[in-house]
Amino acid sequence: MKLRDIRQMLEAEIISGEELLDVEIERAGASDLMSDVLAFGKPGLLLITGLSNAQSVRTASIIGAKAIVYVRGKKPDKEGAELAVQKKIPILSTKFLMYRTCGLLFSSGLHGITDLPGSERAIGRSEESAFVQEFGIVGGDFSRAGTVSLKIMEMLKEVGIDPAVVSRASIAAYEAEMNVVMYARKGTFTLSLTPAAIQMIVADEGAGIPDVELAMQEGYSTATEEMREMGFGAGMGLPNIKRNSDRLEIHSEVGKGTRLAISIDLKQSKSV
Amino acid sequence: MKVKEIVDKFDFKVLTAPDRLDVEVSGGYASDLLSDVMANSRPGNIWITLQTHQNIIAVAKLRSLAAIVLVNNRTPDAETLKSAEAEHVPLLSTGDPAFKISGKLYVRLGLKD
Repeated sequence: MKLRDIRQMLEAEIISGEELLDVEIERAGASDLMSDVLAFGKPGLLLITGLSNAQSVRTASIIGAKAIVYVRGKKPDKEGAELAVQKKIPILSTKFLMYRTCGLLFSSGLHGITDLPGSERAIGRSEESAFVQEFGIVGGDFSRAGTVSLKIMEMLKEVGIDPAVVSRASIAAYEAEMNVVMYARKGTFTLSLTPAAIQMIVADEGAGIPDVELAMQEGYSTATEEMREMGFGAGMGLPNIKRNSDRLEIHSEVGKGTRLAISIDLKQSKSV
Repeated sequence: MKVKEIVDKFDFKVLTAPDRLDVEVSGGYASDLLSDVMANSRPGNIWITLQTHQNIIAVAKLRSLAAIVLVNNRTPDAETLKSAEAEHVPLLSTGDPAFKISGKLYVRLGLKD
């Protein structure tokens, strides 16, 4: 179904993106909670929401939504409208309520998230579903070190997560990223967001840690002289991660690599 | 107190992001260990260091620091300047060593940690 047809069906006003109305829409999702949207969101989605601030546009952009329909006659604020133009996300505004909007689109054949043929997510598993994004880290590349953490911080801020939680997640992310840069050949950084927690899995191919318990001790470091001169290798990396996370699991195999699973609850549970 | 006032008061050289000096400074933090800054600095701190490589920009950004002061007239790498501009992090420089500039900020401006 084209966005143009959706506009007509919903008697909607075009707020922006008039030139994008021929885009094909296959599925839609409706929610006013952006953490929820992050959890169920999928690329190509039509986002139906009554939350009309800029956060809704940012969330749509992160999940790769094709368009936004604001219900109940809502319209984006100035910041949201500008962002939508910049991100090329067309915006419609309908006077219909969310229930009717969903009903009309559903009955004309638009799929939901979980009932699209080939969808790997089964209904009823929403607790486990999450927004997932993967980043690559290159070992030894100090010039790009920190970029993954910065992206993650921006992303968490954009979706409106508690600043204290974002702060803790950024510290843990940075230390985990730096460990890969310093001690491994390469690694992957996987960020998952569920409605309850931020999870960061950082897996690398590298030397591994012979004695994890020792490595967890404040002040213990195997950094080279060169790294220390740059201010790294103070033996604070893993302790920093532990202090800032709610759950931390470390698996390491000497000669193969290390895998960190860092979990931070969205509800601030500890002060650091 | 804003970054701008501190710059004027101590005649710091502004190396990058001159349009970002209208920011309130919450206190000072002096360290050359990046993990220590990550762990113990506070948002809005002015960070005093001798490190000049570009990773200091990511640290400043991740901790929402107000500015970085390079001591002993140290000159940052070209890459550091570039990423400071891109990330809008004010890089300042002073001829004073870390001890002296920390003391001055603490005593004369009453800027605490």
